Amino acid sequence: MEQIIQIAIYLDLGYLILGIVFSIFFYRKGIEKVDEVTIGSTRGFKLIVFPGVVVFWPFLLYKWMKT
Amino acid sequence: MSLNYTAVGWNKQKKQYVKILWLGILAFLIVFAALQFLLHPNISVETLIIRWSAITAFILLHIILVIGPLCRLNDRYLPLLYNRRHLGVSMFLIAAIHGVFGTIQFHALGDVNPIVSIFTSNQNYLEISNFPFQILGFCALIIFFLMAISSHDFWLKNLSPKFWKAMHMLVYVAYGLIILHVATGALQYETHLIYWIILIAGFLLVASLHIVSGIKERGNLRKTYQLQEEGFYEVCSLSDLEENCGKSVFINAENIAIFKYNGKVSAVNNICKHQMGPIGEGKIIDDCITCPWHGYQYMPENGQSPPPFKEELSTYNVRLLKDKIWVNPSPLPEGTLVKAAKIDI
Repeated sequence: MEQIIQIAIYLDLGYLILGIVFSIFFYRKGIEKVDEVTIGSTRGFKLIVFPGVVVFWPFLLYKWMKT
Repeated sequence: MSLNYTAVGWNKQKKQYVKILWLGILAFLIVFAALQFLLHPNISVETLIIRWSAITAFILLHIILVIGPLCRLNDRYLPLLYNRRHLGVSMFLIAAIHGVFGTIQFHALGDVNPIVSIFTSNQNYLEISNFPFQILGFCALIIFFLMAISSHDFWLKNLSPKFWKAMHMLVYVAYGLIILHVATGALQYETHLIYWIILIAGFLLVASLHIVSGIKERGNLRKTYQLQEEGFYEVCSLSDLEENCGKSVFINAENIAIFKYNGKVSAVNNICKHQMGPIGEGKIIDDCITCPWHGYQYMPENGQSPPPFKEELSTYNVRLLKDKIWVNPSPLPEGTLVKAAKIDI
């Protein structure tokens, strides 16, 4: 049981690290392609959606690939 | 509904709402701490924080859950719905304080990873009095976390309203987990009957308000309309509609909102593009249909949001025969201009 939980935690951490790496590229190039309303949006907005970018990155990557 | 996104769409009402909310939370902290130190002089600060955050988040969760049905039953609660997002994020932050302090106090002192310890330190799944209740709270906190981080219109748009709504409906799963978390956790130690009464009363309040508002809604949906000619259905009399107000009708699986305004009648789809709010329960403000939930606006004759906004609703053909309103439930493409039916005076 302990091993399964440990593996699940490592998998989750890996997923979130990928999300952080994705966010670097997403904020530089992708966010305005995915949603044009973000053009000219504030830094506060980018900060407040950051946890979501790290967690929901596969959705955003899919939308980005489609543009 | 904005030109570009900001962190929080502050306005005077929202600022006042958040101020009252957090003053209430802090006032409760002061009263609760004073009572705890009076009744339990040896209580540690960590235990005090764990208890305060648990009770505060529990109360806020109940308030959040009753706002929806209360608004279905009475319009006067709509300002609470308009700002529910702030309430939800505040509840998550307080629940997170409870989770972090609980994990530190009960799982961080050994040599096992605290998260692993939550899942493995107690595996008595068949014993109610010694059930691993912390796992239930942990799972509920994960749901609250997902809801809190996606509480921005950017996520509503980019995760799609359907997915977003479905994810936020998980609050009911989280509520069930929290009820079990409290029943198998704190109430196994605090055995006084009053705690059970409060827990059950809270659950009954939430459940009964949902049932009553559901019955009211079902009654509206079940109403059948007689087909007349050329695909038009008679839905109501002009006198059934107040000026600048709407009415929701459900014909052939089409959810339609009809509005009377400026001597005219128009019909648009009843589901707001923002959070699927009931457009028909809104009003005409500044010549636009205004959703009662978060104020999204649409022009009645073409279902389009006023420029530069881009949201669009389906529109429907409407006829007036004497004082009766007739609607064709075949939806026209979103944003299609339909000439309003003029009321002969």
